[in-house]
Amino acid sequence: MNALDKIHDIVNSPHQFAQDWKLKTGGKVIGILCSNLPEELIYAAGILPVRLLGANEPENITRSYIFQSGFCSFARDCFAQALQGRYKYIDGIIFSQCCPHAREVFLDWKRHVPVNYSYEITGPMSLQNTYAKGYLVRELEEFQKSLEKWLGTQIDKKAIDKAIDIHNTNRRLMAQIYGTLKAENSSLSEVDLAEIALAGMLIDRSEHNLLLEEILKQISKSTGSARTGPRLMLLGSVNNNMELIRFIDSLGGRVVVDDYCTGYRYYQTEVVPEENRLAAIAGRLINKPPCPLHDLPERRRVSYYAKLVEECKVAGVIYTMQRQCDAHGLDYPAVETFFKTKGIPILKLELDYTVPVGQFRTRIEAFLEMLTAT
Amino acid sequence: MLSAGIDVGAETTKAVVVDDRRVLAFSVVPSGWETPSSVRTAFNQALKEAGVEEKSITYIGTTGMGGKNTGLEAQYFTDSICNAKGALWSFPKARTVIDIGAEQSQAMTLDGEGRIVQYTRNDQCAAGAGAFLTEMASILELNIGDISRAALLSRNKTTINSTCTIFAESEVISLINEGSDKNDVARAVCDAVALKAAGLLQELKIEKEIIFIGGVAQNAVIADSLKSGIGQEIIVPQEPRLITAIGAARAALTK
Amino acid sequence: MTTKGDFETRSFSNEVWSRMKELRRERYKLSFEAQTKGGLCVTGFAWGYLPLLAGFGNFGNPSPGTDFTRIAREGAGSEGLVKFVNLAESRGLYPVCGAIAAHLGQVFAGTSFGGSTGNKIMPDFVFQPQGCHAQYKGGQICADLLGLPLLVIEAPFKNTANSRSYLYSQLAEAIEWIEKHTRHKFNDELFIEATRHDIHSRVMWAKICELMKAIPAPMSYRQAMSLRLPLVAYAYSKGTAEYMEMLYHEMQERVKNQISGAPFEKKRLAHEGLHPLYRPDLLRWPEEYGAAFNQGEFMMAFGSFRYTSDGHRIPGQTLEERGIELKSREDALKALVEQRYPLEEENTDYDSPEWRTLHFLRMVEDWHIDGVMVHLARRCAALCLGILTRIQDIRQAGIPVATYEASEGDPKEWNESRVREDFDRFFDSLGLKKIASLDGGDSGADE
Repeated sequence: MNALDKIHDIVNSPHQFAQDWKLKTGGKVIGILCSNLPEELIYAAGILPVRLLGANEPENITRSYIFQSGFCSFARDCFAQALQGRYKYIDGIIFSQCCPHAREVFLDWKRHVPVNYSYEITGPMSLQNTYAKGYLVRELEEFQKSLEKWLGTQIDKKAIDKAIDIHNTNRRLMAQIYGTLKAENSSLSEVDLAEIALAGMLIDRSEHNLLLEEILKQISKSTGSARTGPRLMLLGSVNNNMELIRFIDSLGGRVVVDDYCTGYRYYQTEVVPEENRLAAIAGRLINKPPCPLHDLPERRRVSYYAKLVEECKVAGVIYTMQRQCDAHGLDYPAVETFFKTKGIPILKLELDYTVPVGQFRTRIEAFLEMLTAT
Repeated sequence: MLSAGIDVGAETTKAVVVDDRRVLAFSVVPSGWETPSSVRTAFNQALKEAGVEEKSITYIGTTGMGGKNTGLEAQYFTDSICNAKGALWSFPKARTVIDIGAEQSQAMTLDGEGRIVQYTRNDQCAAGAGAFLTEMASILELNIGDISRAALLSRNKTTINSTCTIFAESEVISLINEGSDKNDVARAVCDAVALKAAGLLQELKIEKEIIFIGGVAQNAVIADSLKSGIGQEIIVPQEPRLITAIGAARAALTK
Repeated sequence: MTTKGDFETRSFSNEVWSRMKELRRERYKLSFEAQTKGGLCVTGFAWGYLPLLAGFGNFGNPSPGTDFTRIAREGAGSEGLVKFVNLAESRGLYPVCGAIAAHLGQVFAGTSFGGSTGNKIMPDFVFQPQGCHAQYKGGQICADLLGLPLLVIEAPFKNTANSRSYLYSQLAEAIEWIEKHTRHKFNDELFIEATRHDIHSRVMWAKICELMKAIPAPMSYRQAMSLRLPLVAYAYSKGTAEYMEMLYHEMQERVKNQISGAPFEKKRLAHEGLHPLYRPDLLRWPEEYGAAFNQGEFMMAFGSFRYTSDGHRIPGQTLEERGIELKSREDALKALVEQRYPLEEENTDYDSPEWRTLHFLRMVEDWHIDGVMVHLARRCAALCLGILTRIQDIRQAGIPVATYEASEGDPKEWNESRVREDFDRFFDSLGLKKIASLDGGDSGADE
């Protein structure tokens, strides 16, 4: 089985790797709700972090716990998995400064689906704040103590260094892989990338690195194929619905870069070494391209997008957001204005548990036609 | 002593005439635009059917969306209170009621006096209510009454995934265009409604007897699917549309 | 515990009402005139850390957040407010919080910054102190639109030494930031005084809330929403601190003489969640059934409380009661920080859902509440965080509870007949019968 097939299996059975890993290593698995977290510290503790996801199936089971008209469907879908026992194997759950939708999941999970360990890292919202890094470092110190207490063991510098190395390698490899997407001839599609990205959030990162290296080796042997279609950027909130990405692909949209919570945003920016390892980890969280929630007070996302537009020669943007997502919803006008001033059309799609195929087809087809005509 | 109950719903207006023990007569007419007119039509038909004159009716209770605008000298009660009273009078052991109307779905538990103990209902969205069914029937080119017949003929399991009526509409159209059997899609529509109803009941600590009322309860496939969904027996009255109107009559009498 | 029967009601004194209105007028005047008189002008969802701004002298905030909704309603009516929401939505802000949409709609329409004499104001900067994520982003949109710098101050929800130090640093830096971005100079004396008044006003409000435990309650919830108005955006003023003292003393008299805020208290009810600000008459609906709203989280929101270790809420202490004198800028900053993070609650979990439920149940117990009506605010994650679990807990504690859905800021989410039904059903379940009709009347009180 080649690496891409393995990736595909991981994504289709998102709970399998962690369960097998637990049996094999006797280690602990922690569920995480956001890409803004000190994953190196968690990894150094010998814990496997796995991204908590929905199953993209409609449900009614969360009606008594989460107010439907107040919280996004991803949050409800995620929690539905917990209530249905699909995450029985996780030992703990962590919330790191994310949106209130994710916090609702965290709080309800703690209360109604008890786990052995839970922790809220209250990181700064406004990452540009002068004191944000110092504050975050102290939060991470407390988090480290909490992990050590739970595990009954110390997390030493060596373990953290090793974790940083593995994660930085992972980010470099992902950058290389993502880089292939923008080439004229590409061996990988956005569907592949979406699955590769998601798989990394479900398995041990060192194993992910092995798969990435294998994929890069395979790509280097192939000339790829010319991909036609308007060059698209896929932006937005959390979305693990592969059907949508396959759908865009099938309609002729050629995604050359993405920035969404369960896509490339997760792999942005390496940890730059510092004597204080927690400061180094915090530095990455502060400096990486922010999600809309943390992009305060100045808008730095748009300068990141400007860079991507130029590097990847983006012709159109598809902005996918969960229906009740305040962060991406409130940011949309500014993002739309930015792309419009660059003469780049943008299509906004609101997500629910599932993809409304009929509706999306019409809109995406029309969008792509417009891009092709211009 | 005779009392009457009028339930003015989004699609139909129901009128009943009851005495202390039973329903003497009823009438169901389309609600239309002119509420007082449809109310008068329904009421007159029920009176005629019962063989009584209006002056022999001691109390009139009204309820439903148009219940405050009937043009009658009557007392208004909320539909949930009427559901509780109507269900309990019809089924003295009723302790849970699930009502799916044209636009609203609600579930409640009651005590032995007919007082509501727990209550929940759908969000302001109408997905899973009668209007959803009507919309889907229209796309399938079926009469609303034929949906359950078609569903019974289903051979292959199909699921409608969307929770939103608008999204579900485009999903059904896609399924048809992709060659899905109409009967299977009809079944999927029924299951979707039952799933929503089951979700409401799951919010409460339900107790037997569970009574399923409202226009949508006339759909046997939905009733059966709901029963499977909650794993308990449910009772569907012979005329599930009338329970609320009966409750209005009882509320007026007992007040 | 239920109370039955009718009580003597009496208007609050002319003194109290006219002083409240004077302060309200003063605050609004400042909002639109401070700048023309050489003072600072800000905009933003801002009712926290206002003493910091007062340290620059008289300042105005013509569009201070959700309070605006009331302003819009009073000025434009619900229909007018819908136009603002629609405007925001037409600019791509959908689906977002109704209150933010209404506020930003007014900013887009340019109505936020029109003075009463027709003068137009351009704020100096957008001031965005702690709030929810939507308010932060809303502040940013405002800053984009008006081309203004944005000052964000955040207060993490955990009460720890780290949070305290973070907030302190931000507040200290904010002073320098404001000096740098505007031509204004900070005055430590003004800041100290404003901090003192702010703390005093809020403690007095907490003491006033405590008097609501009396049977009958000397003030109705609806009256409270009007009478506490100066506290929302003007707590830092000497006038408000003195007014709160006056109100407190009058409340004490009313308790002594058994004067009630509402004519009946057959049931005392709590309102959980921020009510639809464009329909404050809803807070009087229980009176049609001989009941009254007495308490709720938003009644207490602007007060300064402490908690006992078993979850009872008690008024905080004034600086005098604590024997603290503010002598310097640092003292005042520290006091503001401690207002947010009381020292005695450090490293407790008092913001967690479990504690919020416990506080709520204690409130029900201490204020003799017979039932709870919960507003489920559509599109508002912050207000609805953990709310369904809390409802389950309240129900399990044997307390009657019901819900209604609407939006705190968007009148389009208001379905009158549906909400009325929810209330009527709840009252019926409490054994209450309708005894009167207010016919939609919304007198904030009894004047």
